[in-house]
Amino acid sequence: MPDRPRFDGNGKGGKYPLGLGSVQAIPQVVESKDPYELKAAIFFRLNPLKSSGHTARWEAALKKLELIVAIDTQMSETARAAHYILPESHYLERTEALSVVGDTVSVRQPVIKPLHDTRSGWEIIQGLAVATGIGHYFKFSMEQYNNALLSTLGWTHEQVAEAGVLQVSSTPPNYGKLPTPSGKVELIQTRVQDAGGTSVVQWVPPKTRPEGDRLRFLHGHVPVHTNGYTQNNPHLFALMPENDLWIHPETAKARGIKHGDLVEVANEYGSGRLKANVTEGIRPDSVWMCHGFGTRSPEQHLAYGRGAADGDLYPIMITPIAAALGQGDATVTVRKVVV
Amino acid sequence: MAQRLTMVIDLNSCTNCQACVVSCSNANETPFWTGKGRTQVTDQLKGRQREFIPRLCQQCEDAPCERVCPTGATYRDASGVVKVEQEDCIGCKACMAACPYGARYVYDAEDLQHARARWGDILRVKNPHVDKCDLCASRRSGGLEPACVATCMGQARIFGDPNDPNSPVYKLYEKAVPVGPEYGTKPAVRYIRKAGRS
Repeated sequence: MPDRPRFDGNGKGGKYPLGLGSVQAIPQVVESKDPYELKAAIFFRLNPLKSSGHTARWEAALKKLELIVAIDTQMSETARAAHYILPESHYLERTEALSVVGDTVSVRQPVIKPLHDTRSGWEIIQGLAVATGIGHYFKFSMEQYNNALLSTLGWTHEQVAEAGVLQVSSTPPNYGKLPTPSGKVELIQTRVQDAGGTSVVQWVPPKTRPEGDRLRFLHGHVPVHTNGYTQNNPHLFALMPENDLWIHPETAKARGIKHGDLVEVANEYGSGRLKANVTEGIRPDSVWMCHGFGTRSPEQHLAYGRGAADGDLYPIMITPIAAALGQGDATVTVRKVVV
Repeated sequence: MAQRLTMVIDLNSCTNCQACVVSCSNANETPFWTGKGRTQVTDQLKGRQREFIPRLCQQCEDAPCERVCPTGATYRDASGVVKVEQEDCIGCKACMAACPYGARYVYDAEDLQHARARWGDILRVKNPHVDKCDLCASRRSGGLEPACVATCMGQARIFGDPNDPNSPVYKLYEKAVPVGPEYGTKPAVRYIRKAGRS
């Protein structure tokens, strides 16, 4: 085990004992060198230069690193900022670990051979492990890993691959006795209290308020696109090439904005331009945009420059206790772009 | 009773993910890059509620597109499905004018050129024509259900024969309603209304 704590304070003994990892801690750790200096980062299917708040601060922090490696299936903004890119095989070209949903077990398996000189994420990690002298921990294939997981069920990777999806005989949940200390539904969470929180969920007011000409800035997702990953897919691009800014008719009218107008959304973190979607589907004090757009990577030739990125407009925030990426606590101004 | 293949669409289950539009365009090699295709999902704001409506050829029993086609390119097969014979289509667009559901579109020479570049040797489309949904005739000939049905994660699209007691649409069919019955074309496709709506 490493003799130093995690850089992000997540895990047992850290500031966030219940946290599962906070990539958004990187900029502040780079800036403060607390708990220690960060020199290198390996990003695996992660694109913080689009998706983790305050993009300008991220860019400045990454410039200070001696080494950035990006493992990805496409040229993301973070991949462009990397010293080395390790191209990963597309999901249709690679074997993955078992997926368990409810009482079903399935496995992602390649349906074609890799079209380009790429490797699966697992093979890349194995290669990095060998290069850094810890290869002996990673001496197994993904099939062997899956076989080990399946051994208690008496199945093999091959059988799951053949069946596609297998159903496991599982014990139905006993709602009469829940797996809690009292056996009942517990509203008091001692684990959260022990981690520095309150035993019962409490309302914490946001740091920002929509006041004056400022509007609450919100974002979300749509079923057509998956996070920031599919904007350059030709089929999905055809269905939704860019995002728009939902704005209430009253709010739009006060700013001389009509449906379809190009608007600029801006605050202390950054700015973006996109078309206005004037709709009663949003509160008058808030605006909303879909996540994943505003691509700055010209290699994504369809998505490049289309729409705006919400990540440019949020602060970088680690939420208390859970250490998740905090979003939604920002306000913006919106104006019509006069061309 | 004679076979009559059709679809029942449950409006309670559509999330507007558009997987049907994507899978349809791949299965039928349609010019998705233009926004044209055999099926669409519309997103309408009704007051403050959004309503998603999957749209496709309604497989009318008295199909105006079939009636006005001067060459017989639009015809009905033995299972009651209205189809297009590409080679016989002269591109007069009478069917487009006749269809009250806007279910037909032009697959033009430019689309075909682009499709050749995209799909290469596997492309089955040979001629420009006025296209429409044929409930995935090519997939059904291989024993598969229509692509939009296979990929619908909400199972909003249910395919089958309302005359067949073993078909998944058999019991749903009477509960479902046709859209635009006033057009008098007797559409075979039916919709299950959203709960709590008229």
